[in-house]
Amino acid sequence: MGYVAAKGGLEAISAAEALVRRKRLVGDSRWLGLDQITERLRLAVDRVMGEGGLWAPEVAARALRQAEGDVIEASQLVRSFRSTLVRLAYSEPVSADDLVPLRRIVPAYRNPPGPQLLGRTLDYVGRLLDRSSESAAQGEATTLATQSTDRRDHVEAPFDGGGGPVERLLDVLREQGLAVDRRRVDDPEPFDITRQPTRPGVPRSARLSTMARAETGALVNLWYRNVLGPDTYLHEVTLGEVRHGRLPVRVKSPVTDVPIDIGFVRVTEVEAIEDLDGIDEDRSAFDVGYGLCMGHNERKAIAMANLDISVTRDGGRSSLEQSVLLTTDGLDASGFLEHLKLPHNVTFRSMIERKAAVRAAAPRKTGVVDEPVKRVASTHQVSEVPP
Amino acid sequence: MTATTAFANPALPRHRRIELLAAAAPAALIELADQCLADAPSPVLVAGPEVGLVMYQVREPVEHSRFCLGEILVSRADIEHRGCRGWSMRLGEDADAALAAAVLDAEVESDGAYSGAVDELCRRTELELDREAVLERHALSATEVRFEGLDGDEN
Amino acid sequence: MSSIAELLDGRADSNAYGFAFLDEGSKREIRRAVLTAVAVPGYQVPFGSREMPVARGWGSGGLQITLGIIGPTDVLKVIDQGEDAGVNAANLRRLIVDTTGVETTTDAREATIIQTRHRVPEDDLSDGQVLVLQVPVPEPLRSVERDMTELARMHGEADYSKMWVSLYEDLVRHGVITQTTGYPCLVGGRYVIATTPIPRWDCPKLHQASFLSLFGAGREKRIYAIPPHTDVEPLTFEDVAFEVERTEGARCWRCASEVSFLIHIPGVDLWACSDSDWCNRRVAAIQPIPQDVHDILSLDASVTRALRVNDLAIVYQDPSEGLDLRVSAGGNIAAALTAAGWRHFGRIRARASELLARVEVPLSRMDDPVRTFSGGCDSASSWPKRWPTGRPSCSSTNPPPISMPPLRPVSWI
Repeated sequence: MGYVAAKGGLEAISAAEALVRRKRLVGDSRWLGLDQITERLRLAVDRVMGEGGLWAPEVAARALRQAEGDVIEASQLVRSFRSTLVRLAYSEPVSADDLVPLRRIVPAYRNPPGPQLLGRTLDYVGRLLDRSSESAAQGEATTLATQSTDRRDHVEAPFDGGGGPVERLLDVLREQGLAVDRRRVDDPEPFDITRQPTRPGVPRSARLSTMARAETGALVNLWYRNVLGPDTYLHEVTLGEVRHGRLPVRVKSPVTDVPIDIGFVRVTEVEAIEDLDGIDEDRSAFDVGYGLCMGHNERKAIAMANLDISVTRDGGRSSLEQSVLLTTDGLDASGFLEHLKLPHNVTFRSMIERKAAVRAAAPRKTGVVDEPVKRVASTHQVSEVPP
Repeated sequence: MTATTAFANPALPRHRRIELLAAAAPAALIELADQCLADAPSPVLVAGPEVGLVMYQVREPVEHSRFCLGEILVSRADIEHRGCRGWSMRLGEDADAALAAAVLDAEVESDGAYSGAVDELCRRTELELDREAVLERHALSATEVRFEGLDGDEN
Repeated sequence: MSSIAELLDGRADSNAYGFAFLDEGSKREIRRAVLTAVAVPGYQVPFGSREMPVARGWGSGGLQITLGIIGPTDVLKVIDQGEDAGVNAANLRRLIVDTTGVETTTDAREATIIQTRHRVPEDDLSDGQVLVLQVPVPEPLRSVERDMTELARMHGEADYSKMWVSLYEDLVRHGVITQTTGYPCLVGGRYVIATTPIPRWDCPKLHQASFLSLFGAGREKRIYAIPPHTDVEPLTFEDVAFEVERTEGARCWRCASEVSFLIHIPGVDLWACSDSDWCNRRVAAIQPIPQDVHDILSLDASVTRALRVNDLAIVYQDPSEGLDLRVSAGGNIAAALTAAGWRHFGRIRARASELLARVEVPLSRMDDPVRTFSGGCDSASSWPKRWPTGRPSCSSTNPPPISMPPLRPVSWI
């Protein structure tokens, strides 16, 4: 028997693949190295890691290059690569309080405890297209490189601010008695969405995991359609914390009693302060929603935090929870959307057949038959029910 | 490298050694591990070296409960070298470096001839990490919004 | 006496993927879900669902099942819309072969695992064969209910009333059930399933089948199954027949089949088998469909009569040869129906009127003797006679181009 090639389809898809590969690998420009992607397209790499649900900058860069810059396609490559790998362990839980900030702002206060640390951000930069010539930009790069070398010689200079755990605004509110206290002591096992499918009613941990690897645009849209669109299950929040920083990766080892920090991940964290105004809610306090995702992606973390508290307050009364859990995954939505490109000739043939059947069953309505026929109600009894 | 280096400083606790070997540059790890292996019997591979996933758990502040943020790509090696167990887990896809780090861990555990060199590598790595952290904080500190005093207009 | 490089030398190429792509833990999880699905026929078993090297919605669920159950000695067939050469079928087949090295076939009878999108092969599959269906939407009740909590309750309590109401409304408004593909079926008398979008034509093949059907929905993370020898009943009212796709006069332009699911080729206005390999075999006649082939013109009269009652109808170019001119148009049809055991007057009348309506014979003339019809009319009324019981037919004066169509029961038509 051996390999029986079903001709036609295979040859065409092989040729299409070869065309893509040739254009991607050969091109007219210089080879695109992974280091260039991780360094210069940092936010794209972060998005691929976040939406792919895997912290692995080199893998994400490789995927981004292979996908010709398509973030969703790159996330798909990362996710399917994950499926080949063995799960070695769950990490030791790390408290979000251990975050070492690279950026931290508190919109709710002018002078919060701890710094308003802008960090690496484009928020306050005019969105002016940098039109400097290539040679001028490269010249600037050379100059900057020299300056940074200079700085290295002065690292002993005194400095304050940043560098260690900073008290979070939620704790400040708690101290003032302004926050609903939802702290639990039972420490339930977290829901692992990579091993169990979610459906409404799952624990909050499943919701947080789902949003952490949701598609950014999906969360933004879900947020916006609830602010301005047809859904109204969400209130605009005040942001407490917006942070980007490092969290240690802590694992158990079989050879030590003390857990081991094998490195770090960068994450974006947001606290969203919700003004409680429901009849049965505590009007004297605020509640807080939480967003945390891999990489630097503030709009995703903000949408996540606002949606988190909205689903909590909604308490399953609306469809919001189902929307969050089941419609925000980029791979699910894009894959299903694009499957419409697949052949559908069997289903379409069946649909056309039913159109004909409806016309035959109602000749008067459609006017297909010239001579109207009074049909008895039972004419659709066309044959016996199959045994 | 001589063994005297190791006595120049207080001994590194083992967990800290494994952390620093997880952060060290692959080339340095492999070079030193090859030296350790040159005169020793081949190590026993207990588990791995293998590339796999660790699911990352975070404790969030609102309910103080855990959730799974996502997975992390790691390489792990669990070996026996000179009669002692050596263990390593590093971020990323590099089984060679993980194996080398595990060998170096066992080299120290078995009080091998290169223990001092391993210790030296760890301390160099630690210095470099500290240096990078200071540089980073220095660059960041300039971006902190500083107010003249706390009596200014709120908002 | 070794080095890091030597120690790792000879290990499997770290860039290569393992057998059947998925890690072993994932395969085990899929097999457990499959076993649960087989144990509770029709129940949608939630499972973790890994991301696959195809986009979700492109067969990721079917692919997971196939890769979860496949072994090195399996023989694989992959089809899309019934076709082996379809682009997505080719891609999935290549993926599975590249990661397993299994043999492939296009002959459904030789395959141990058949992964399919939208079709069940025309061949009668046997026990030991596994049909893996790619499922885009596993929830049969989605069209009548969106809330997942309510859906879980409905399945839990076998409360399918909303589905029944939708069928009722369909009938009231359209006179027929307009559901096209993915027809809801009751499995083992307990759970209603979505029959993927396979055509209604294929639903009866799932009933009391010898083979195992596994349904994989990757995006929605559900696996369900129809074990062999399980009842699969399309949902319909007792007095409303389940109708499969049928277009009068349609026959495959290549193999002349009228007993397979046919797709239309617009422009040239031809029909073709959707199951391309089944059709190819009929055309090539390398391996005729395993039924006896008869030259009906050489059979004796009693055998011919039996054939006409039980297996196929004969259409005469000269209608007077096939019709009893003294009997009414309806009576001509009733003859065939009563011969086939129909004993319900109302149903026979209804069937006759329905068939006559399809060939545009006015129902007001149903009770008129055929001899009073004009030439065009009596020619038309001979056509419904050929399929009152839904038998395949052939023309008496134009011998079939290849052989007789297979004489297999198609009583669900």
